[in-house]
Amino acid sequence: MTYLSSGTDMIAELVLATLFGLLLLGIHRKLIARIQRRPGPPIWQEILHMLKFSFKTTWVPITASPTLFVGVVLIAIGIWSAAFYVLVSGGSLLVILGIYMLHKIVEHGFGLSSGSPYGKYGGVRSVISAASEIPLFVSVAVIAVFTHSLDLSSIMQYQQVSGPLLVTAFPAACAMFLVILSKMPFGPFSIVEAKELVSGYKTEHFGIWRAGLEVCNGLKTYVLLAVFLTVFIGPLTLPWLLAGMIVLIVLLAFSCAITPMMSPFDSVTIQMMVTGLMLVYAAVVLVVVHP
Amino acid sequence: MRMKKTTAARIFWAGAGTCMISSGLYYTGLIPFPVCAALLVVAFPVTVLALFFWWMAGQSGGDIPFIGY
Repeated sequence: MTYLSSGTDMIAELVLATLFGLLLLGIHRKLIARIQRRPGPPIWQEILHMLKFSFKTTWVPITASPTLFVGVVLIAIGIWSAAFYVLVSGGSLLVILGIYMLHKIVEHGFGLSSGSPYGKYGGVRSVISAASEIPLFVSVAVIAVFTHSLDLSSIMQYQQVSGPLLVTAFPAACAMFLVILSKMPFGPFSIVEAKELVSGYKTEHFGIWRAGLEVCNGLKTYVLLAVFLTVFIGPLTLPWLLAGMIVLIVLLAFSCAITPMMSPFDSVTIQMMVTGLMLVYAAVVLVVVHP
Repeated sequence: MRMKKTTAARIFWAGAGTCMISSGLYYTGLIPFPVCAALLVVAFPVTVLALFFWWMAGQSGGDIPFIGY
């Protein structure tokens, strides 16, 4: 997985990662539907969505801040493009963590820029759901304790010698799985897109803006799943990486399909409980495993 | 404010050109990976949105309803 792309590949990889990420979201949606005994859309529906929105009439609402309304779409695609290149170059996990946090601010910007109350509430919930990032901090700390590094390339080297972190740091993998689950649509922690908020922070972003947001979602899904596999399984060839991502999306779809969407309060409470458990685990790792 | 189809096309070609040139310069070793990635991170979102604007616009009207409705 860790390699520096050749020049022409850099663009092709970015585009293919976006399309594969959208395909994964389509598989996710289809599986949820089948588990709930509905036919569901075809798995390429998210790709069709992106194309469909790109042909829709587009404008900026009169209540919106035009610069922020348009700029936030560019930033959303830009930050996940950056995360993708950090991933393929085996860069720092901290940078990807930073981009993940930046995405919360971008979601908030999406909501605030439109001037719509639904968008604003979606943006506010996005900030509340930052509680899901705290297990990620502990998870990253545990990885650092084991590997003595936060560079993806070093983490992969460690796993080549010592075996996958999925085995040696299983609770950390569970915590990171929970973090990814909180970013998946139709999940128990998807409070930013709850039905009572119409479409949450993206309610007013339609047409080309929504198509841009779909591009961002595809890239984000690809990067988050690839980071999970890189950090907890180790270096993988491209076919195994893609297969692993499909397995992960199946697990996520089952988690989303069999759990109802929680209220914001319950969502934050559960995530804080997980954080507490992870802190206990981190203390055990520090005191017992690596004193 | 309205954006013409030709303007969207120019922005797309400028963005796509930046992507291709930066990739080419990296391929030939003239710029390092981080510089190439930084250029792509800036140019890729602009290229994508400009492409959508370009192919969405009709030929007859001339203008795309962009900002101001």
